[in-house]
Amino acid sequence: MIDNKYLEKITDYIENTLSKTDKTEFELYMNKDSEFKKIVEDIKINTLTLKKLEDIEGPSDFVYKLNQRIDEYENNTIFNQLSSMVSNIFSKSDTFTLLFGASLILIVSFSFFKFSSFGGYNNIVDTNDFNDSSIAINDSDSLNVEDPVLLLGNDK
Amino acid sequence: MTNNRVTDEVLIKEFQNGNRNSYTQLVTRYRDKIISFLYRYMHDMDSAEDLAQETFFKVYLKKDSYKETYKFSTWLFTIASNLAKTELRKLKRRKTSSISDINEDGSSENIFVDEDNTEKSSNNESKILQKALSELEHDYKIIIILREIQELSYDVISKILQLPLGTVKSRINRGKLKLREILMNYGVKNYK
Repeated sequence: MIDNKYLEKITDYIENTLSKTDKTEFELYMNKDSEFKKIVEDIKINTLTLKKLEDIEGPSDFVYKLNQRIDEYENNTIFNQLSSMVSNIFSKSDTFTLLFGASLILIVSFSFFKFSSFGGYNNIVDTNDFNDSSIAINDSDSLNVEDPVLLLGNDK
Repeated sequence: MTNNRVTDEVLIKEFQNGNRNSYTQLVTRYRDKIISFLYRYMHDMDSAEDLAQETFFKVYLKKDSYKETYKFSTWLFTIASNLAKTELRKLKRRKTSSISDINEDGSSENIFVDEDNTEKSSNNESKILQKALSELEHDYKIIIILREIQELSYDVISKILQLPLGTVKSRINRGKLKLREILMNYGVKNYK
């Protein structure tokens, strides 16, 4: 049976960190007990072998994969934050909801009037912009609706 | 000769202030160490890589939890060892380990005294030792890896595992004794 007192000192003995007195005492005990001596020797060999184990090289795409995961996380976070912000606003403020709804209706209505015939802006070309006399039909021509020929030119 | 290498603590501080490049530098600096530590602990490369990814991801998420009172490496190894411990517990529920892959021909005996082929012998030693290490109980295994392979000080190990210094020293000796027993059960009898 190994004395615990010495068992606890094996690593310190191997690493040579025992005080001079402790080291002498340890060696005295070790030399008296051959089984203990064998244990110390075996542990010393195992320790040396463990120290010889080298670092394992990680895969070359390790950092790339990690950055990809982080980017994904960040993108999801931004999206989730926006979603929760919007849902928070809508769930907490009825006034805001009403204002938002009203604004939306106004925008839609405005867009509808701007691009529909009600506003008189449905012509692709605004004839008021024609100042070129060569292509404009003069007022007198437009008045002679009973004589369509006149509208085409001065053939008379 | 002066050492111009930026310390880990400066890098993590920069990262806390929003510099992601500093984070990448820390990952590059510790990638192999963490993968090796996790591989020694898990005895499985895929798990080691996954857990290493998880460790660095946690560092990213919890960067503000890091306090300068500890070294960055202490904090990093604490995260890695906690994740590994949890993962191993999950795995143990699912499967039991086998030692059949050590030596199909049962020739592990005398493996440590093969003096004719040093390189082969050294590889076998590492393989058997790694396997024996994986058989150790968590409390012993983690201390042996941190101390003998990662070569961390007792003080740092005591902080990582949140154990008194005396307990760490005691466990390392008992762990080594148990490791020897496992090796003897494998048939390794004749040491050099």
